[in-house]
Amino acid sequence: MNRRDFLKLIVSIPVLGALALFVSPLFRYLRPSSGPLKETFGKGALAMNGPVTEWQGQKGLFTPPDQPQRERDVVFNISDFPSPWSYQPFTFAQRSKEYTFRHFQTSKIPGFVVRLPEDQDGKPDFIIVSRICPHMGCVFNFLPDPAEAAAYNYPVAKNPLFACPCHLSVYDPLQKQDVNGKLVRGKVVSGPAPRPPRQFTYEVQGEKLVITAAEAGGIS
Amino acid sequence: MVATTSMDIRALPAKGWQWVQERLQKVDVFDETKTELQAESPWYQLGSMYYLTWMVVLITGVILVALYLPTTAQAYDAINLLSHTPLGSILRGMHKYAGDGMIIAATLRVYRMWFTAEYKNKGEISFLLALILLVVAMYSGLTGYLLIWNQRAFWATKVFATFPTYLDITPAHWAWPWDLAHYKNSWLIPNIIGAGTKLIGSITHQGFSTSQILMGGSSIGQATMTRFYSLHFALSLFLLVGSEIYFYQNRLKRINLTKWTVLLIILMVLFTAIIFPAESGTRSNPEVTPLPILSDWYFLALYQLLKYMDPYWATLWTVGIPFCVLALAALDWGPERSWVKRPIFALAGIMGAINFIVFSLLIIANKANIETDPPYWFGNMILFLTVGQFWHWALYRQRLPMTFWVLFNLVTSAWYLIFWHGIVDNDKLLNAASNTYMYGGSNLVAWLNGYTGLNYTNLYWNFICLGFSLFMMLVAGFLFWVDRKRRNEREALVPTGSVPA
Repeated sequence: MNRRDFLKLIVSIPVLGALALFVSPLFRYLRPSSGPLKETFGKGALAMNGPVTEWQGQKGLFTPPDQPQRERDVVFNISDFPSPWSYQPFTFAQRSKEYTFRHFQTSKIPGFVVRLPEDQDGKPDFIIVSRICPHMGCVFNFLPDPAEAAAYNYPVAKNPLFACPCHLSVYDPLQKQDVNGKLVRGKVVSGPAPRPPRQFTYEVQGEKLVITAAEAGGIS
Repeated sequence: MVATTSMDIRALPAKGWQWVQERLQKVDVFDETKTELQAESPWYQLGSMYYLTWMVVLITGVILVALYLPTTAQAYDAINLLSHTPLGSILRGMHKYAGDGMIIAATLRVYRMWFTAEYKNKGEISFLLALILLVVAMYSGLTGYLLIWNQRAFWATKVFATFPTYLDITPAHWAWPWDLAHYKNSWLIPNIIGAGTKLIGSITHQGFSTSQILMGGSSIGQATMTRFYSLHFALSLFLLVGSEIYFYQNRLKRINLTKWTVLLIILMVLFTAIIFPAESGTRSNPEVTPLPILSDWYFLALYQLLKYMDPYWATLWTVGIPFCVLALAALDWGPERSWVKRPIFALAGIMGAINFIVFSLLIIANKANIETDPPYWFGNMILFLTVGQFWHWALYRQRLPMTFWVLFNLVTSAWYLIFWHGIVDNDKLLNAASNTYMYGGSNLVAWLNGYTGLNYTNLYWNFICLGFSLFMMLVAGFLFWVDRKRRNEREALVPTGSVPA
């Protein structure tokens, strides 16, 4: 490499870098959940756009997506679940922030509350899961009759299960599986899913079952 | 010495540019330069057929644009109304079946190029373009069928949008290579790749970012439909402008088919559209996934692969298949062009076709068992390549590749024994013994240690693989022995005194 080539190389690096910097905001526009660039939009410009006033994730070019917020709690009566394996479907609405004219997008997460056969400390015990399959995002079903699991390639089922129609993952609510060092209910007993279904956080308040938050991750 | 090496490095860009120029001079996109061969064989008309069906898709598409309503509330109704109108149904059917025709033509064309080794003799870029035409046609199909907004469309797109998120997530059986406590679930190379993608993902969030860019938000909705609609157009428009410039500048004829062939193809599309009208399915419902749910036919085999593999690896493989085809073509550096003289590559092609068909049939039958099925198709792949390898040996009598192949099979069998659990999620099989290190290492060791709760299917396959490679060694040894004997006989025939000193 002679001196001229070396100088060309040295000059080309910052030129290419600057080009990448000019192009990167375009990708940012394509990703609605990514916050606006401080340099591009002044605070005044943002105020004109409406009520989005918080500044989030301003570090670096690649900001993490904003975490979605719940719209309201989902409340059940404990008496809705009179016997073991009685279950109720529900829909949990979440708001994801968007830096578009819409400001947010509401996504609905379908879920199941299933009462487990064994009570805990004299109180009914529940498994509350997001029905969005942790494998590829389809909505899975609850099979009250274990014999139905044969259609999902799991004919040896003994108790009711969750099973996904897309790629035939089957989850057992009675068994636990290790997820990043934490034991989570709904072990994958058949199929390609990498982990048990995502769980909801809930509290029992007297005779009420209040579902307050959804586990992050996946596409709703 | 120093001077020459630096000279070589400096000559590299010029040489590379020359390499590209030589191939660009021989470039062939729609078989438009193969006019002589086209008269002899319909295989060489596939490029023209691709172009013709593309034109049918474009013309019907331009009319459909005027009738379609690209909103989530109205799209399904607009399409459904069209499907129940006599000529509308035909119009939609022709758009769909001509699109299918494009994919069939592109697939067969890639196979033709593969079996006749058209990537040799400066055809590399033409082969790359043929692959790109296939991928573009499949991608147009994917962006197109969301627009119908029925159940199949919605859930296929959901899977497609969830795919990239796995680039931020390490494989299910991920552990640091030195984390011996988790060694039973890990394998060195997946760990390195997994750690790499996770490290990049923690900075760029490339998986979720890609997914959100595709969907235009955090879930499938109006923004997704608008984006897919625009992409569905844009791909064809850019390619149309590009191909028109190419044809115009090089003064080439676009469709080298007889008018009867053109008429036949258009009538085939037309009659298919009349006899099998394109279905509308049921309106998409984000809260119910029907069982079974299938994608369009050209993605069925990939969906079956999703049922068989850890999603992280399924994602990488799905993206990686075209690159594997290119890599395999790059390995085929010999001078032979006939497929009979290139048995390994011919059998790799046949294996790909058989896997595509069998996987598609299996998913239609809703049959997939991640615990028991993978050894069958994995073993089938090895078997095909083995047949190719021995055939190659019979043709060329090359000892080094043969020895390499036998050793490779031994390594594969050892890998089966030790690392099977890292590739397929077999933790489910092993839960009873998840705390015994020996079981994680191999079923065989566990069995020798008197562990009784093991899975016999797994053990059976381990033995099958070991037995297979031992058998291979015997066959190879026999062939070597025959070869040696013949050489000795040949040498014995030559009189010792006749060779001049």
